[in-house]
Amino acid sequence: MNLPLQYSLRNLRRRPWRSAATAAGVAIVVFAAVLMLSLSRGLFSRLGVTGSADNLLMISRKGQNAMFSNIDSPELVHVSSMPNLAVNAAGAPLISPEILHVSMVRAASVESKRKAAVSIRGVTPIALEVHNGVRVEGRPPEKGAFEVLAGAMSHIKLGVPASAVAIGKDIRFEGMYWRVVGKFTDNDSLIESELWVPEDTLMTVMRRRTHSLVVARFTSSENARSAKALFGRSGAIEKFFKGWSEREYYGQFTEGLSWVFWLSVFMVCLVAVAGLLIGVNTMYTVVVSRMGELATQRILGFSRFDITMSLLTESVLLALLGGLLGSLGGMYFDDMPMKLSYGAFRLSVDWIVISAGVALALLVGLLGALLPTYKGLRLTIIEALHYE
Amino acid sequence: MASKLLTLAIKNMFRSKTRLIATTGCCIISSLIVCFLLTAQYSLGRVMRSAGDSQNLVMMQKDRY
Amino acid sequence: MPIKLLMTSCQSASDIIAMHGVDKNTFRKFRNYDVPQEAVEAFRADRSGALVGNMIARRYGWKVGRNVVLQELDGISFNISGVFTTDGSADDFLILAGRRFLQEAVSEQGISNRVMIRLKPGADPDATARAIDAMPLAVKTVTQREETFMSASIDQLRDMVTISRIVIVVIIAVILIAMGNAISMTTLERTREFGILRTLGFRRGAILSMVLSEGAVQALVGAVVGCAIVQAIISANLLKSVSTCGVTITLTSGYAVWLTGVGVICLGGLLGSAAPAWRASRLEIVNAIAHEE
Repeated sequence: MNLPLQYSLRNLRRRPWRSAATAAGVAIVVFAAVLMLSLSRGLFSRLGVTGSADNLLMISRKGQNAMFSNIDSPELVHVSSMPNLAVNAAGAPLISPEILHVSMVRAASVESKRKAAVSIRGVTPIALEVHNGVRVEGRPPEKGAFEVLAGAMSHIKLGVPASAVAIGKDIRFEGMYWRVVGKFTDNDSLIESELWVPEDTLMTVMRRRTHSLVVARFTSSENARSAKALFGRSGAIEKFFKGWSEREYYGQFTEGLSWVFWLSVFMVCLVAVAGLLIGVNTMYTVVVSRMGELATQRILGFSRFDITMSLLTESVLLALLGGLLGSLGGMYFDDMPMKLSYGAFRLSVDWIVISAGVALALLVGLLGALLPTYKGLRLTIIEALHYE
Repeated sequence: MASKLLTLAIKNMFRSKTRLIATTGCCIISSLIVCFLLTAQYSLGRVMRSAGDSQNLVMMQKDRY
Repeated sequence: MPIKLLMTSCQSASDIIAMHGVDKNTFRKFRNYDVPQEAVEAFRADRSGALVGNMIARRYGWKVGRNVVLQELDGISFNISGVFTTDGSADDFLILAGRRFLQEAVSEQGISNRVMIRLKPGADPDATARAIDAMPLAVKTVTQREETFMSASIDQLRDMVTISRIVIVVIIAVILIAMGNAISMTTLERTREFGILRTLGFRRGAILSMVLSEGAVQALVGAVVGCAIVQAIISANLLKSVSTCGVTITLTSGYAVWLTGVGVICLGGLLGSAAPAWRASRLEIVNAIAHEE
C-alpha cells in the first residue's frame, strides 16, 4: 500500500520557505558543479578532436617538441619516400612542412596596445589538404605576402572581440602588419586559436631557413600507424625524425592539463557533499517534526518501506527542482571563452554536463533523506508517538 | 552573562548531533573550497609580488617571445 | 647581464623545465639567492656546474654533486653544484648554468635571449626602460619591469582566477543558505522554549545573541577545520605545482589566507543566522508558548 504522490507534494507546500531554501541550496551546489564540469569538458573535448589519426606529425630527431625543432628542406625527401602517403588531385604527396612559432601579437584595429602570446603556423598551400578538417572562409594567404588566415578562436587568445580579427583587419607581430584574408575552423579543435601565415614570409621575417615540423597525410589511419613503426627501425626516418600520430601528439597535452581535470573533480565532490549535508539537515527536520504523523501512518498500516519511499520522494522532488534550476543557471556560462597557454577553448555545458548536474541533484536527494529516515523509522510506534 | 549564553548556545547545538554534524560539515566543506582557492590566488600573487619587489628590468628583442 | 634561455616548450606535455645561462660572477646581484658560498664557488669552478632551485630539486630528487642528464632538453648534462632558495619567486623552479656552457650546448654561441638590468636604488624603472629602448642598438628592443614581464606570462591563468572567484562567491551563497536553513529549523522547533526563556526574564537581545552564537560557533569550527585540512594537504606536498609559459607557481599559504578564509565563512554563518535569530528574538511570549509544530 503506497502513500499517494499528492501527499508528498502537499508536504513540500506545508513549509514553503524551508522547501524553497533547500531547493535553492541544492540549486547553487549543482550550479557550482556544472561550472566546474563545463571547464573540464570544454577543454578536453577540444583536445580530443585536435589532430587527425590519418596524419603523422614529425619533428627533427634532436628537437624536443614542435616549437624547438629544425628540419632542413633536403631531409623532406625521406618523408616523401614513406609508404602509403595520400596524394592530391595533381598527384603530389600530401606532405606539409610547417613552422610553429609563438609570437607577441596584437590586433591593430584595437586601441589598447596589449599583446598576447599566440601560436603562429607558417604553412604552404598543401597544408589545407593535409589538415583536411580545416574549412576556410575568405581565401588562404598568398605565397610571400603578409597575409594571415586567422583561426576562429584566435580572437580569444588575443583578448579582443571577433570583429577585431575579421577579414580585412590588420594584425601586428614580428614587427610587421599582416592583413587577415580569411578565417578558418577545424571542428572545434585547439588549432582554431592559431594564426596561419605563408611559410616563406615567416621564414624571411624570422630569418630562419629550417622548418619546425612536417605533417604527412596517409591513405588511412592504419597506414599512418604502420608508417609510425618506421621510427625505431634503422633507416632515414629514424635518423632524421621523431614522430607521432597527430592525434597522439595533441593527446599528450592531456597529461599536462590533468591538474585541471582533477581540480574540477575535487571541487565537484566537495560541492556534492555540501549539497548532501543541506539535504540531510532538511530531511532531519522533516522527520523529527513529523514523528507523530509517521507513527500514525504506521498504525494505519503503512509499512516502513512505504513511508521511506514517501520521504525519499519528497526529498528527491525538492532536490531535482534545485538541480534543474542550478543546471539552467549553469547554461548561462555555455560557450564562455577561456584561455590557457595551450590555446583557447570554450566552457561546454552540453547534455553530458547537464545530466551530471541532475544526477548529482538526484544523488543528494536520495542520500540526504536516507539517514534521517532511518533514524526516524527505527523507533517503535510507541516511542515515536511520545517523541519530543 | 555572555559566557552563560555561550554555554547555553553550545549545549543547544549538541541536542541534535545529526544536525550539528550536517551544519558544521557544510561549513568545513565550504571552508575547504574557499581556503583552497584563496591559497591558489595568494600563491599567484606571491610570485607577482616577488617580481614586483625587484629593481630589475628585462630587455628582450622586440616581438620575439 | 645577458641570459641564455633553454626551456621545454609551453606546449610540452610534461612539467616545464627552464634553464637560465647566466654570468657566474654577477648573477647574485639580480636576485636574493639563498645558497651556501661553497656551492657558488663550486658553480664557478665547474664549467658544467649548475645551481638548481629547491623546488625543482625536490621534484626530481636531485642532490648536490649529482650529474644530471635532461632528455627533455636535448640530453644536456650538468653537475649540481648547489641548491638555492629564493623568497617565493618562480625562480625556485629554475636551473642556473653558465651562459657560455649553455650556448655551446645548443650550438648558439654568442646568442642570448634576454638581458637583465639592475637599477640603482631610486632610479625610475619606466623612464630607464624607455631610454634603453630609444637607444640605437643593432636590434629593436622591448624593456620592461620584471613585474610587467611576469604578468604577461601569468595572463594565461587569468581566466582560471576569474572562475575561482565566481566559485568563491557561489560557496558563500551556499553557506548563507545552509546556515540560514539550519538555524531557521532549529529556532522553529524551539519556539515554545524561547517563549519560556522570555518569561524567565531573558531579554530579546539575549535570545538574539544565543542564536547568533550557535551559527557563529558552527561556522568558526567548520572554518578552522577546513583551513587546517588545506594547510595539511599543502604541507604534505600532495598537490603538484601549476605551470604556465615560463612561470611555475607552487601552492603556499600564509596568515592572510587563513584569516580571510575563516573570516569569509564566519561572516557567511553570521549573516545566514541573522534573519532566523532576529525572528526568534521578536517572538511574542504568548504566541511562542502557544506555538504548535
